[in-house]
Amino acid sequence: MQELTELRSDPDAFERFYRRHVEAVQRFVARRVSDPYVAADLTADVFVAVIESAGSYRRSRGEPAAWLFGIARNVVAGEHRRKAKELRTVAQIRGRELVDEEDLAALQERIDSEAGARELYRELDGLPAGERAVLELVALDGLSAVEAGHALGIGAVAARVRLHRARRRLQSRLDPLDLGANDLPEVTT
Amino acid sequence: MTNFEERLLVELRGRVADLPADRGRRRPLWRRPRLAVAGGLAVAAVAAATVGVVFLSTGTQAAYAVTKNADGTVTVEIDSLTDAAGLQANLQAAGVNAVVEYLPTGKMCREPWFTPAGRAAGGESSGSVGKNSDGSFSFTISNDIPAGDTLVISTQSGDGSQALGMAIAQGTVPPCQVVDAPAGSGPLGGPPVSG
Repeated sequence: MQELTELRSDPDAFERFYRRHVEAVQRFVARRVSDPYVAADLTADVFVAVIESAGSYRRSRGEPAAWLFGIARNVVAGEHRRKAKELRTVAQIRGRELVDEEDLAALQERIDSEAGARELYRELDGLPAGERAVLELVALDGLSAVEAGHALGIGAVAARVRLHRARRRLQSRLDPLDLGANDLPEVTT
Repeated sequence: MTNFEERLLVELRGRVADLPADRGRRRPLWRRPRLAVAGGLAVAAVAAATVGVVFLSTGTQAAYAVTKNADGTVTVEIDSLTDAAGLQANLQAAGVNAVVEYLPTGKMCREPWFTPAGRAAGGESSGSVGKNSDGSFSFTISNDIPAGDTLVISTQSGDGSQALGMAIAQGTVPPCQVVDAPAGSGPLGGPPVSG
């Protein structure tokens, strides 16, 4: 798929994209929020943002999955910013209104299984935003540094540098970093 | 897929099908759903106890209407993001101490702009926001905003579209210093459109 603009115009193309990625998006969200209703809202927000931003995808900037994770990261970060400001933004589709009891159990299960990731997510507070973004995608979401760069619209070298700095900063603060540090790719720049 | 995933897919497919720009429908620009609005499921229930105090913006095309309801709440309908000053004045006239700030896409007020009060505006019990069938959207402002606090209505800018946000500020709100919104800070979190 060269471009994703058809996601804006073709419901069937959108459906294929959605089916392929909806589980990954929900896991991504569950690594960051613990409230199942908020998770449902954010999942809806991510796909609304996908529709709105479909024109921004460029094949040269990596796989659609990396681009999608970049969008998802912005959506979740936006939610945390809004929460901090106690600002209520009007959502386009309220995901929580689509949740029934059976769904709630599935959402909760997914959230429970990602408890460790959320702990790490909280520990990233205080890192400079750019470094945090790269480390999040690598340590929480399993992207390579290059893929994280694609997700964030930055080059591979910049992504590796940020990752290196974030690791160093975290290691000086947390000894030992209890999740992910040893698995992070080596810096090769 | 789960029920949630299926229902969400239906909503999202509907959004794609409704996107006017890609369908070539001729709609007035101000009605294009570039605003983030709630209510993918249903038209919002606007307060029933409406009384006849309606402030309509002037001009050939009304940008908004402010209605003071019998129970002290105030219903606002916005058709276009123009004339923020007029909406603000009409809200003041209806007894709502409000600041309305519409900014161009890609702009935001320098943070921190104001001090949030300890509650969100338009909580689930006191406010409803929704898209009306004609493409405008409306919400109801609750009647329990503490005296001296300020309702803030502002655009949340980003990736070529805009959302409207509401918050309650402690005390008065200083003037907005317009700055560039950081890249990637779309109203719904999407990255900036690069082409």
